[in-house]
Amino acid sequence: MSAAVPPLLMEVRHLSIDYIGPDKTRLKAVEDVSFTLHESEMLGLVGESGCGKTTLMLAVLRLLPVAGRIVSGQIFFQGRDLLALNENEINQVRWRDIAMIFQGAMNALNPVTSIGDQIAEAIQRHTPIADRKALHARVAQLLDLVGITGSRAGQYPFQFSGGMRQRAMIAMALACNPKILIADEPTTALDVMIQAQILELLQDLRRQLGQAIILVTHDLGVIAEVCDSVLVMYGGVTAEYAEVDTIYNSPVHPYTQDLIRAFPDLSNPHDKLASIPGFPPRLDQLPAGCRFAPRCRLAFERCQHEQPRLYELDNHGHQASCFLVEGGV
Amino acid sequence: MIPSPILSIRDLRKLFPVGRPGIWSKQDRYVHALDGVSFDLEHGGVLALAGESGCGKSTLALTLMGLERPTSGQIYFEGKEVTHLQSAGLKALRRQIQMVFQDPYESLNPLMTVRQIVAEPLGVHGLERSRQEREGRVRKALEDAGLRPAEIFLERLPHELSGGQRQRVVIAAALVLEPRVLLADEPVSMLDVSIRAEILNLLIELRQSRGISVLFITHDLATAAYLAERVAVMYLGRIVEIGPIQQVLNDPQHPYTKALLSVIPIPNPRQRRERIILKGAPPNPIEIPPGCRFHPRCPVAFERCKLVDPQLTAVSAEHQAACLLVKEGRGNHKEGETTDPSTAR
Amino acid sequence: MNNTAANLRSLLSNLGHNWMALAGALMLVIAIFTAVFAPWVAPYNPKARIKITIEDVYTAPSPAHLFGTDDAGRDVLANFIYGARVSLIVGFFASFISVFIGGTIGIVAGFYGGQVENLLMRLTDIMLVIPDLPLAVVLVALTKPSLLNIIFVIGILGWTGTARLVRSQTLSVKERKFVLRARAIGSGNIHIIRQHIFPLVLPLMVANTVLVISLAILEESTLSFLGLSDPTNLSWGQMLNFAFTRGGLSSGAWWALAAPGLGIVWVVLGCTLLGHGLEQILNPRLEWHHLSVGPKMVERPGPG
Repeated sequence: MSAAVPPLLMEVRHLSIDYIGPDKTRLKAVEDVSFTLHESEMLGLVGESGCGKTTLMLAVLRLLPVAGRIVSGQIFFQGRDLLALNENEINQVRWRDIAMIFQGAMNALNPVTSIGDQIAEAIQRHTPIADRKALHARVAQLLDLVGITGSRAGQYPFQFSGGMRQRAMIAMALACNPKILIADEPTTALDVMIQAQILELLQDLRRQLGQAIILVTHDLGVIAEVCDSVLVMYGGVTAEYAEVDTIYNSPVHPYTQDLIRAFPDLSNPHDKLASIPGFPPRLDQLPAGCRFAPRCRLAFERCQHEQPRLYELDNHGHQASCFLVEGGV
Repeated sequence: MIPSPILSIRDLRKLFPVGRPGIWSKQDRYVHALDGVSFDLEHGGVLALAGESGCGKSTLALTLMGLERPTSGQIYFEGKEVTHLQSAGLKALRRQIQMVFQDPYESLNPLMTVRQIVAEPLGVHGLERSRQEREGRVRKALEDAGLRPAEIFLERLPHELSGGQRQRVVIAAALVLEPRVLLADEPVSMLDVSIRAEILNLLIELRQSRGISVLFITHDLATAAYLAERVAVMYLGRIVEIGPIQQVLNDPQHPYTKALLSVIPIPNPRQRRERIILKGAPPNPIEIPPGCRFHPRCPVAFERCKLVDPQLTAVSAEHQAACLLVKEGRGNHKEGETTDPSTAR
Repeated sequence: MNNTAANLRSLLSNLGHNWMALAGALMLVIAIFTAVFAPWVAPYNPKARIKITIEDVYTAPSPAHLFGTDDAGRDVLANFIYGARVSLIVGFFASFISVFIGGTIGIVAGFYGGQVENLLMRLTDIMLVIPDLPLAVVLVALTKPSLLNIIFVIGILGWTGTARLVRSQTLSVKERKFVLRARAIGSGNIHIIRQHIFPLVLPLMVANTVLVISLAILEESTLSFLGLSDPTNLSWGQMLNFAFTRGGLSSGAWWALAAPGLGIVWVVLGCTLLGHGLEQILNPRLEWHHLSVGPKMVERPGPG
C-alpha cells in the first residue's frame, strides 16, 4: 500500500481541557481528543469558532490562559508524557522541540525592537549562542530560510507588510530547529496570493528540514491544498479524523459532509452551497447528547441525549464520532 | 432595446494626499486608491469586484456611498449624474443605494436594540408616518432578511445575537429603505464557514424576489463565482479584467487573474494543481509602476510592458482585459495559442 | 435613550463586584444622607439664637457637644452636619457646570475635528495653563461672595480635564464601524452625536463627574478657607477658616479643625474611590500572565 510510515513524533491521547468560568463553574472546552503526528506530516486541524482547536494547541505547550485546566489525557512526545513534566522540564521542550506561531501573532510583534533582535532573543532564550557573530549568522540564515532579505534584519515591524511579518514569525518559530511547528491560522488575515506564498514556504520547510506541522485553520481549501491528514473538531470534540483524501472524498460525519458542501468550490462554482442552520454551541450551553445533534440533518432520538464516542472505520486511522457509523468497518 | 444600467461608473479616480505641502514644497505625493475605474451594473444584475488588499475596492465602495468624494470621474444612477451631490440630493440617493458592511460585530451600536437599529434609517429619512407603519416596515425587513419570526428579535441587543444573525440585522437595516442597489462589502468574510452560505443564499434570494441589483466586493473569487454573473478583477486601483463569470474563470486573459485563480485553494485534494505564485506583494499605491502597473510581478511581461499602460481591450463581446497580450476580438484563445513575443523566439 | 439607561444600570450592577466603587459609593451615600436629613440628624440647630458666655467658646468634646464648640460657642457637630449641605451643594452643582461645558467642548472638538477642534483644544490648553486658584480668587473677589457666584466660578474653571477626556473618547467612538454605517444610511451629524456618540461617551463622563465633584469640593473648601465664601452659610471650608483665624489653634481646640477636615477628606475620598472604581469597570481588564498559574494547569490525576 503506502510507503513506510515515518517515525511517530507525537501522540495525544484522550486529552480533555476545562475552563473555569467567572462563577467557578467548569466549561468543557475540549473533550477526549486524540491524534498522532509523524515526522514530516502536515496535520490540518479544522473547525469553527469555539470548537477548541486553539485551546488544544495551547495545551500541548502548556500555554493555556489562567482559567484553563488540563483535566485528563496524555501527550506523548519522544517517549515522554509532556503532562507529567514540571514547569522547568516543559520549558526545555518549548521552542526547542515544539514551536508555535500564534494566531494574529504578526500583529503582536514588539514594535520597538528590530525583527533581527526579536529572532535573536528567541534563540538566546532557548539555545543560546555565545558568540555574537555566530548569532548574527544564525539570524541571517533563518531570515534567508523564510525569504526575507538579510539586510532587513535591522528593520522594525511597522516597516514590514503583513505577509513579511508572518514570515518573521515563522523565522522566530524555527529559531531552535524544532521538530514540530504549530501554526495557528497563519494565513487568515492575509491575501490569497500571500497565503499561497506562506503555504509554499511551509511546504518547502517541511521538505528541507523534515519538520512536522500542525496547521490550525477554518479554511477547508487550505487544508485540502497542503495537508496529509485532517482532524475535524466541533464543540470541543473530534468529529472526524482521517487522511485528507478520505475527509474530502468520503467523509462520514454529517458535520464534515455539510462543512465541505458549505465551502465554495471554484471548480464547481454553481453547486448550491449548503448552509448548516443554527450556530456553533457556546461552551456554557453545550447540548446534552452529541454536540452536533441540534444542527444535524441526520440526527435521531439517541443523538439528543447520548454522546457518541470515537468509532474506528478502518485500519487506516479513519475515525468519526457518530452513531451512524457505530457498526464499524 | 438594451435597458440602461442602473449604476454606471466612468473613469473614477480617488487620490489621497500623502503628507502635507510645506512652505517650499507642493503636494506631490498621492495614494492612487482608484486610478480610472469604469463599469456598469445592470438592473437586477450582480457584479463582483474582486481583488486583494490595496486594490481599491473598499475605496470604491465608500466613494459610491458618498462617504468619500471622487477626485475625478463620473457616477451615474439610472442615467443621471450623481457624482457631486450634496446634502439633500445625496440623502435621497442614499435611499436608493444601501451598504452591507464586513464586520458584523462592529457594524451595530451595542446599545441599540434590533428594532431601533432597523428603524433608524426610517427616522433619518423622515419616513415614519405612524408607529404602526414603522413597526410594520421593520418587521418586514427583518423577515426578508431571514429573521423569522421578527418578534423574538426586536428587543434583542447585538451581543445577544450570533455573527450570522447580526449580519442579517445589518442587511435588514439596509433593506428597510427598499433600495434599488445593495453594495455588499465582504459581507461573509468574518463569518464562520457554515454560516456563510446562508447569507450568500439570502442575497441571491433578495435579488430574485425584490429585483435588487447587487455590487459584491470581495477578495474571495470562489465566493464571487457563486454569487455573481459578472466579475471585475481589480489591481492597484484599476480593473484589469472584467466579464461574465464563466468566461473569466474558464478563460482568464490577464496574467494576474490567471495567477489568482491558480492559487485559490480548492477544497479537494485530488485537484491540487500547478500554482502561479507571484513574488512579493502589490507595490505601494503611492508609486505606481510606469507602463503596465502589473509588469514588475508579471510572469509573462516583456519589454513593451514597461512603456505602455494597457487599456481594457475586448476579448469577446462582454469580456475585456487590460493586457498587451490580448488581441482585439480574439476571444477564447487558450495558453500556447497566443503570439507572445517573448516565447516566439 | 432608554438603552442608555440600561447601559448605566448594567454599570451599576457591575459596581457590586468592585470593592473600591462600593466603598466610595457607601461613603458618599452616608454624606448625602447626612446632608439631606440635617435637621433630624444634627443635635442642635446652628442658626438658633442661643445665649453664650465666654465659657462656651472652644469647649472640649463632651456628651452635650460631641465635637465640642467653636469660636462662637456653637456646637461643632451641628455646624458640621449643616456644613455638609453647603459643601456638597457647591460641589455637585459646580461640577455639573464643569462637566456640561467640558463634555460639550469635548464632543464638538472630537466629532467635528479640523479647525474647530484646533480652536477648542487650544482654548483648553490656555485654561490649563492659567493657575486655577489665583484666577478663582480674583473672580470671586471681584464679584460678591455669594454661594451662587462660587458655584459659577468653580464650574467655569473646572472643565478642562473633562474636555480632554471626552474628546479622546469621542475620537475613538467616531472611528467605529457603526458610525460609518449611520453615515451610509444618510444620518446627519446631530443625529449621529445624539444616537451614537453621546450614549457611548456617557459612562466615562459619569466616572469623570464623580472625580470632578471631589475637585470642586476641594476648590470650594480652599476658597472658603481663604475667606472668599458666603459667611452666612457655613461650609466646611468656612469652619476651617474660622477655626484658624479665630484662635482655634492657639487655644488647642483641635476638634474645631478635625471635624470639617475629616468631613472634606471623607467626601473627597468617597468620590475618588467611586470614580476610580467606575473607571476600572469601564476599562477592559488586562489578562493575567499564563505562567502565573504554574503546575496547577495540569489537573488530571497523577500517572499511576
